[in-house]
Amino acid sequence: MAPNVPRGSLAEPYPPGSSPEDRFKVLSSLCSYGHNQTVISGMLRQILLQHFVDPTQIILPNLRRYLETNGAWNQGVTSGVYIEAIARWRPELMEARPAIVIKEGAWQWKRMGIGNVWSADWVTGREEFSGQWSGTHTLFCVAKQGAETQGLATEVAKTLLWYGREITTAFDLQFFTVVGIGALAALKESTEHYVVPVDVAYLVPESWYLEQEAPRLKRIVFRASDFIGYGG
Amino acid sequence: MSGDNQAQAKLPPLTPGELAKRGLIKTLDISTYEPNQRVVDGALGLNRATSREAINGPECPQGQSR
Repeated sequence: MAPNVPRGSLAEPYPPGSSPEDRFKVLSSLCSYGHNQTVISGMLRQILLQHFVDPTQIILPNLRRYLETNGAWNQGVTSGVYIEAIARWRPELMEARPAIVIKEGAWQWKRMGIGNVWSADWVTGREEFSGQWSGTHTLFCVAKQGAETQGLATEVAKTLLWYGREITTAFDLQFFTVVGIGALAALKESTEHYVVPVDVAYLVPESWYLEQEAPRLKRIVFRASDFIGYGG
Repeated sequence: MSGDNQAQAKLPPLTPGELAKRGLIKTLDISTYEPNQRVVDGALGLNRATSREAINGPECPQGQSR
């Protein structure tokens, strides 16, 4: 092992003097686990946490000043803004502050080609399939003042819209975009709060293959006479 | 300013729930909210057939021409 290679690093298994080639763009758990609705929820939450953790990153001046005064996002109960997935939503923590609640919508399968078949190898029997999921998530911006709620929704929508290309690339999606900002409404669960939904949509690629376990040409029964045109 | 107007000015602003009761805004239920699928498909470019129809106009009934 090379003297300066930290133990457990990628270069460790290679002999001294060798230059292993790393062909991975980014090592990501997406490679192992693939996409699902929970992963996208986590991705959106992480992006928003990183945005709201520092008031200097906030686009809208009013919201920036609010977070400078009341504190930006933090992990504790003193966080200036509450950002959580719907399944972990704790209403008692968002009573007195703006909140962003992330909820996954439906995923719909978009078939590509006939029967999702992308290619087939007639010798081995291997068939490759491909298609895409059309998915949606909604980010519910909740606050006690109408303008504050609309400002929060605008901030969320613009952040995700502007970084849309980066999100598409980094999270291995085919497309990611903001669909729209909804109208100001009263939150049904709490008549003291306003809510504005921000819808996002994305395309998740999905590819797989099926391979015959037994040799495809193991047993073919036919009579030569069936093909060469004389009775036998 | 009359006495009535002064009294009105001191009233607190209406809560979202009261605004919804008066029909000024809608009530949104997070549990049942779903994005408009047609709008979503449009944003993702998945409703090309619909777009073509919008450009060409609706299909004529059989046997008729525009």
